[in-house]
Formats: sequence, C-alpha cells, structure tokens
Amino acid sequence: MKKVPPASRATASSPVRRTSAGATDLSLRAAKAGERVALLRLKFASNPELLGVVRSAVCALSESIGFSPEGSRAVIRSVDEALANVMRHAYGGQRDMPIHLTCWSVASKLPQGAKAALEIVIMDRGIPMPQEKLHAPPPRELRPGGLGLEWMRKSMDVVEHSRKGKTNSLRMLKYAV
Amino acid sequence: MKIDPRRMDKVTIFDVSGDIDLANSPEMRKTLLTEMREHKTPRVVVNLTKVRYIDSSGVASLVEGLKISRDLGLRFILFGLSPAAREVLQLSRLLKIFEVYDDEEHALA
Repeated sequence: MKKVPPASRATASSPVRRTSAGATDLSLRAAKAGERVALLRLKFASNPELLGVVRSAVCALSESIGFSPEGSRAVIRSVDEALANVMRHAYGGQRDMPIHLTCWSVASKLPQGAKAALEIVIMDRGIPMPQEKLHAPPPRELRPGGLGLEWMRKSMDVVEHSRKGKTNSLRMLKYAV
Repeated sequence: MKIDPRRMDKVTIFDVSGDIDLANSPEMRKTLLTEMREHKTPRVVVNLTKVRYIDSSGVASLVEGLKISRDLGLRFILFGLSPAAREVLQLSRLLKIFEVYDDEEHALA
C-alpha cells in the first residue's frame, strides 16, 4: 500500500461559507431541481479520536438541510460506521492515513415525498473490503461484530462500495422525507 | 466517554456518559468485563441515561457483557436508552435479547 502524507486539515467548500469570525456558516440553500451541490468537504486522519468531530459536522449539516432528528441520526450512524470500518479494516488501525469525506445536496430524481437528499462519498487508500464481507447476510446469532454494515444498509437508501486504482470509495444516499 | 462502577449490595451499576465509539469502546469493554469476572455481582446494571451515541463496537461490548453474564449466571440489565441507543438495538434485533428498563428504579426492582 502506497503511503500518502498524513491528513488532518478539514476544509469546507462553497456554499458552506466562512464568516469573518472564522466560524462555518451552515445556512445552506438546498440544491435546485437537477442540481448536485457540494456542501461539505472534510479531509482528516484515520484517528478514531476524530470520529466525534465528524459526527458533529454531519449532524449540523443534515439538520440544516431538513432531515428529521431520526433521519439525521441514521446519517450520522452510517457515516460513523463507515469511517470506523476504514480506520479498523482498510488502514488496519494506522492513525495517520488520509480519509476524504464529501457531502452533496442532491435534487435530481427525488422519489415522491422526498424533500431533499444527502449524498455522502467517503474515500480512502487502504485495503479494500473483502467481497464476502460486503455481501454477507446480517449476523443471525448473538455475537459481537458484523453490525456496522447491517446498520448502514438499513439506515441509508443507497450504499455502494467501489474501488478505482488504489482508492476505495463508499457512496451513500439518504432521502429526507 | 466515562464509565464509573457503583457497587451496592448484590448489584453493580455502571454509570456511562458521553459518546461510545471506536475511540473508547475498548475501555468500556475492559471495565465491564473485568468487573463482572472479578466481583461476580449477581446483578449488573448499565446506566445509559447520559449516553448520546453508541456505535457498533459499543453494542458489541454490551453483547459480550451479556454473554459473560450468562456464563457466570448473572443478570445483565440496561436502562435509560437514548433514541440513538434504542434505534441501534432495534436495527440489530437485540432489543428483545437484552433486559431493558426505562430508569434505575425499575432496573433495581
């Protein structure tokens, strides 16, 4: 696995604006019909201590674009489990490897009743998730482990893993209803 | 995350607070399992009232606690589940596996 420089800088891209005081302005506009707008880009290290920081950012974002508390919790849970998988399995516990997370507001092909959609893409350069784990049925007996993927599948409307070159990509989509 | 055991007559209550995630679930797991194995208190109660978030590694630690309690012949009880904690136990079909109460009074009754 090729080592890349450690990442710890979090960046927010337009239309998430920096105020003069340096705080992040999360008064976001929803994407217009047919649009896909990048709301938040984070680049951070594979350090579990940062999971709480990412959860807070994603929570504020999902609530600001209209997710209910329950919907927001589903998004946070899925992002957290996906990142934990990257840290634990893709990077094998190394705490200084880069993870990229991008959140998009999507307004195309919304199903009836959906008022908004949040698309989240998480990328890493670690070991790919084994296919047998991706397609494993949910654990049936009482045992620890294997819960995270099941929660993600049940919490999000779309969960897609892919790999291009040495980059793993996870795309998740959730409709706000 | 903080976890503090309170030992009473035949009961140990673990007061847990904060978020339980990959960064700290090993600490919660170690505290729970060590206490259960060393003291073997007949009733082990986990107070989740102040837990805002729990991830799959935290739930896995609770599942381990439950399995060890069964091996040792102890009761393992949860109370004070937040909406987030209740949802993940429901997603995992574990809500009916655990003995769950709303508050401490009912957990100790």
